[in-house]
Amino acid sequence: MAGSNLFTGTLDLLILKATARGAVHGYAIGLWIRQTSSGILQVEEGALYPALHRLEKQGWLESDWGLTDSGREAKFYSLTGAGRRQLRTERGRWTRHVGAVEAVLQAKS
Amino acid sequence: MPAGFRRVFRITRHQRDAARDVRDELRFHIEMRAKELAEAGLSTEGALREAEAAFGDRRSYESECRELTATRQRRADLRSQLAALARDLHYSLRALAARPAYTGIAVLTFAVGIGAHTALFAVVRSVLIRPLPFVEPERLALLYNSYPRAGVPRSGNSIGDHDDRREHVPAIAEAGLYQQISATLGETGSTRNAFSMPVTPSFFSTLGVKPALGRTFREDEGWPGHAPVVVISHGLWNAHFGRGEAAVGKTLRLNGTPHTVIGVMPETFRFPTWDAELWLPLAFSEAQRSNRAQQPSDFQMIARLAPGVSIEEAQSQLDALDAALLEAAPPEIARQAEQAGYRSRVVGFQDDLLKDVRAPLYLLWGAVAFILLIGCLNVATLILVRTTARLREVATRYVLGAGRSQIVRQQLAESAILALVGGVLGVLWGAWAMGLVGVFEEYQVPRIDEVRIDAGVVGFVALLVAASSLVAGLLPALAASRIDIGAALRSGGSTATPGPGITRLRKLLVASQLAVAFVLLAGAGLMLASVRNAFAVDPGFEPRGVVAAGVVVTPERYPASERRLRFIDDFLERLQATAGIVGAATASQLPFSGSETSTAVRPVGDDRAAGDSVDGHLVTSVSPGYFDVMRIPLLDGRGFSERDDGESAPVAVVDDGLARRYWHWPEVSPVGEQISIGSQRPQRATVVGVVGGVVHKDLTEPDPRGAVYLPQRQTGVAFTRIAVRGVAGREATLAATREALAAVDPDVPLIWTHTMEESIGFTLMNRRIPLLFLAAFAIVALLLAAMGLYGALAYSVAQRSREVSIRLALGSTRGRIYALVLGQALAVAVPGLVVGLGAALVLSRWLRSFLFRIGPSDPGVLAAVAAVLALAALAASVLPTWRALRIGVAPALRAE
Repeated sequence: MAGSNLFTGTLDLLILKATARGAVHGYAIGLWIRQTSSGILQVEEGALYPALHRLEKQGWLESDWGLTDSGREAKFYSLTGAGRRQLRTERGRWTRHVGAVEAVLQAKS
Repeated sequence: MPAGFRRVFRITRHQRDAARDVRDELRFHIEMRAKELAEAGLSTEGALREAEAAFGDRRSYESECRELTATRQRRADLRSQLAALARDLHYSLRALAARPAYTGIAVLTFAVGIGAHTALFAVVRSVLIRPLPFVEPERLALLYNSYPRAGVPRSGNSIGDHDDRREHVPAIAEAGLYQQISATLGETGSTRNAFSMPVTPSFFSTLGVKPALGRTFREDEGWPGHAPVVVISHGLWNAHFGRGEAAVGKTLRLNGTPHTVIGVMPETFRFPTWDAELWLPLAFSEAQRSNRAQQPSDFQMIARLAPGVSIEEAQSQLDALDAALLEAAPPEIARQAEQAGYRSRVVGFQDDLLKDVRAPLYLLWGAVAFILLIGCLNVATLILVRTTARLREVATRYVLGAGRSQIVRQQLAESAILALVGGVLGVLWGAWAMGLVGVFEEYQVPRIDEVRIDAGVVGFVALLVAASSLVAGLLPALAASRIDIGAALRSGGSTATPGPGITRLRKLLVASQLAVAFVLLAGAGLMLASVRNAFAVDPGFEPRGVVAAGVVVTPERYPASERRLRFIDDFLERLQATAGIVGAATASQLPFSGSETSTAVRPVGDDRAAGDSVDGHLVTSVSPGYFDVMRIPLLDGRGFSERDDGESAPVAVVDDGLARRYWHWPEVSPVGEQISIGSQRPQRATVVGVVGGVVHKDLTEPDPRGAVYLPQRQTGVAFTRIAVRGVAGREATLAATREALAAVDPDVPLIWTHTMEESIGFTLMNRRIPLLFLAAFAIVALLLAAMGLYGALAYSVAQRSREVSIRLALGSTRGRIYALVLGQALAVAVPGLVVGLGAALVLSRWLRSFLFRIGPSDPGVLAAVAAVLALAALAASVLPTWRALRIGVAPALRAE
């Protein structure tokens, strides 16, 4: 795995965020994470898929087969209502977490 | 999973295969990545390799995804199935609620069947199946002496029997003697009667029970010379001393003598045939043990067999002991024993307890099973009728894509709801009916008080509910799922004509109900006739108006025999002076009182029948007015008078049975002849009269033995029975009796009070109780069957109302219409009745042991049953026709 390792649960948060704008397939999710983080956040690409299926099993994502712009069949994921709520919760938790870590780092020892 | 199963439970095949899905998804990713890399300048092969590498372990990711997806889909399936079930239930509930009459009838039908079954199963389980609450109860056995050729199939044991068997029969590990009697408990003025058991010390160790407090009897307390001691029950401990209070060492006044309490039995300990409150030691002296000739033999004997020994082995060892003893006995005794067919017998304790109740209980269980069957058939008919009424709807649902399984499932849901509600009501009803089971108590069915509804019974009910809903729901559901959709949709109106399959099934169901009802009614009819026949037997005296009781006037209370006789005289005199009392007399035993003692009797100078009379005849000691009070007819000579006392010559009265046996009665009269009574120290008496024979034990078992009556003033009196004839009814007569007794001596208790008619009824309990229940079941079955027939015919008439109206309009008469419906009813009823008749002829053979003076295929009873059912069928067909005709022509024509 190249780049920085993701914290546990972070990948889920990124996936939820990636699907929040509408139905999207797995490859596009990976691409989006790579591009928006300027290549800093990298996961082994295959690891995306168990995460997607797990989120679907949780009921946060739903999937359907559809056609890509280029006319290929692909599995598209979109956020469910429960997924949207989960995204909000996770996001809040992430912000608090980062803030807390930052506060510790900036403390004068 | 087989396809049919999948269909019924609605497991849909997924639109896409999960494994292929995952494979495609991952391949798409890699291909897209490869394309991206190729566009960046890599060769096709290089791009693909690079894409694979960036992806990671494809195989492991793939299998992980497959797992997750499969789990998700399984959950989704379950959810959709539950949702479907909920939909079915909801739909069924709404449909049921919309038709309260139909629902009520169906639920009640189930409740009756399941409730009766619950109660009976609880009884069977407690009484027949559950083992006795003793250590290794299967090793417990009862022993007795039998003299079948002398008319005494079962007689008690003596201490000699006990000692011999305990010592010489290796199969017997431990044994004890016991008696089941009553004792007078308490202080002067506040005495009461208490169930008590005199027992030998080894009685408790034989049962394998230990006292909760204190001790039971030591072996040496089986010999005389000890201070009086008593072991009491847990119940008596609480009632008499107060819970938790020390009882051991305290004294209890029993039969007027203080006894020291040495032990308290555990709360769970109950002897199955005698709910004793106290146990006293049976003590025998060395002289009593060795003098066989004088030994009383009215003890019960219980034994614990050695481990692994069968009843048969024990019996053969007993036979060997008998043979050895008779070998050593004086020839006269051996000859008598031989002639009487003497044999010592051993029987399993639980088997023996249940020998009288097993058959009636299984009979009732069978009857209840029939009731439930009829109930299921009935509900099936109801559901079927309703289904046909909705045929168009069902067909529409078909067309709209509902699978056959869906329609079957929905109807099953309906019958399951009905059965479940019925089952719950049934258990409640069964628990209530259990209270009714209390009627058994009086008849001393062993262990009836242990009956209760527990987890086992509830589990059984759950099974019943499941089975009932399957039977009642599956039949009509399968029939409905086979409908001709096209025909159902083409036919006009809201209802559709059912196909021939449904019509056939409906007829079959109704006919089956009639057949089952026939069997039950025939059984009830045969038993009713038997009981009527039994009551028609002349008992030889007039039981109506007579109250019987026991008077405990013991030597402990009045040591002098003269004093006891005077007590009885005073008591009878005072009682007879009371208004409303016609007469009163005492006797050492009364007919139908459940106790009897037999004594050897033979004419003096007549040796021929000597051996024949071992333990042969009922000898009863009576007060002078006995024959008058009982209205036993005097056939020759005289009865007893006040002057037949200790001062005058011994006299006896014999019954015609004995007279016929020894003197060729009625040609030759025994009056003036001498008889010898008792085998060891025979007493002589002169016969002064002959009276009519009396049935002593059971109206269906006329006693062949013959009886001798002796005057009380010559034999002396101890515990005695009293017969009081009054004109003012049971309670008034009893009250007068108690009052007279209390006036003479308030400390003498009056026990076992019954009217003579009740006593006779008790002896017929093994016929009357099953009859009572069977009759109730039969009536229920009749109602259910009639309801089923009515429902089916009413539906068919309603369905044909258009046809009927047209016929009427075309000039057909009402008579013709009635004939039409009647013909239809007969077409169903006749085959049902014929099958029922056949089944009754086959099944009634099992009833044979309950029948009395009537054959199992009595034509009168069977014809009556057929007539009743035919009448019910007639009523069930006339009623709906009459209603249809009353509505008139026009509305029916307009209705569609």
